[in-house]
Amino acid sequence: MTDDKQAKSHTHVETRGAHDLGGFLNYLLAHGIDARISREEMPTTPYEERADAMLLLLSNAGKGLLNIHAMRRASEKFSHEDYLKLSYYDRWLRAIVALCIETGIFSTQEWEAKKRQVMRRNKFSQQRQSD
Amino acid sequence: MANYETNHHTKDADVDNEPLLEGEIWEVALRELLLLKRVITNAELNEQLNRTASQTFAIGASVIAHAWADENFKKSLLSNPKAMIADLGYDVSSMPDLVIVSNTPDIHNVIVCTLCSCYPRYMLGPPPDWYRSAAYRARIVRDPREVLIEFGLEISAETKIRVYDSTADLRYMVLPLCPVSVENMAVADLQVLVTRDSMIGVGAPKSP
Repeated sequence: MTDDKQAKSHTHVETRGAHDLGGFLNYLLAHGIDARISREEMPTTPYEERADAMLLLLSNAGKGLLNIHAMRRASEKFSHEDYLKLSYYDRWLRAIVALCIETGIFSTQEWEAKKRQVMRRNKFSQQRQSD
Repeated sequence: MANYETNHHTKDADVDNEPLLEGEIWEVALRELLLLKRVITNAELNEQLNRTASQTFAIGASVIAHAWADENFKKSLLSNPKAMIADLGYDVSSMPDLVIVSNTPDIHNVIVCTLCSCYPRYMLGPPPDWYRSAAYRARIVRDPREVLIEFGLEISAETKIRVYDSTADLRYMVLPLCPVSVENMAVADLQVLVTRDSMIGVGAPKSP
């Protein structure tokens, strides 16, 4: 196997975005990512399906609220660590939230409050269950 | 991918008494805020979920079958894909630009999106997991011949392999070689031979 297209790519990660994966096999291996291509097609989970639906609804083809280039920018700004750690739809959820805040669909405060509310509600339902 | 196997919740997150995954918390919070702000409605969300669930590679297969059956259609399709797909009665108004790359005995084409997951979704339905995976994106441009063998597709050493890297604005799709001995077959019968993977370039069409 020859070297990655950019020499010492895994020591010079700052020179390219984490999303720019073409050719960087050694980089994946250096980060402990399985380089085998799993051809098993897992069913999409309900939350992933809804994330996908929201992404399409907000995009150009849907309501046109989030421009495809803005979407790309938001999905390409992850750190290398986050990019490799987060699942596909978890990256998209973070990108959509960042763009919604940026374009004023909701504020950072509204987002943080809502997220806390969802977490509390879930803990509450757990407690109720164990009572 | 790393976290994928753990994300298996079959019930709706709201009524689930198990702890929510972090991604589920983000999804529920985002959805509730968008509904609250009337940016989207539940009806729109359900319509979109149904649209996606009904998306398959059928349109792609139909277009390829027409190209196999009619050399003139094929020529026009390669030079002006959107117009010719619209001619078959499909609404392509919201489809990003599409280029159809034709396999020949000398050239085998395969598609990828190294930067993300851009895919001719309108033609082929949602992309498979492996198309979005870091491993496929990193490797197919490096050593396509080896990757294709893993997919069970052995390309002869004399055949060149071209890898097309899709972008947000421009999607690629492969026109596979027509299987042998399909003369006089009807378009509907040809369509059954077209596989999704053959239009990505990682598989062959079925034999009649």
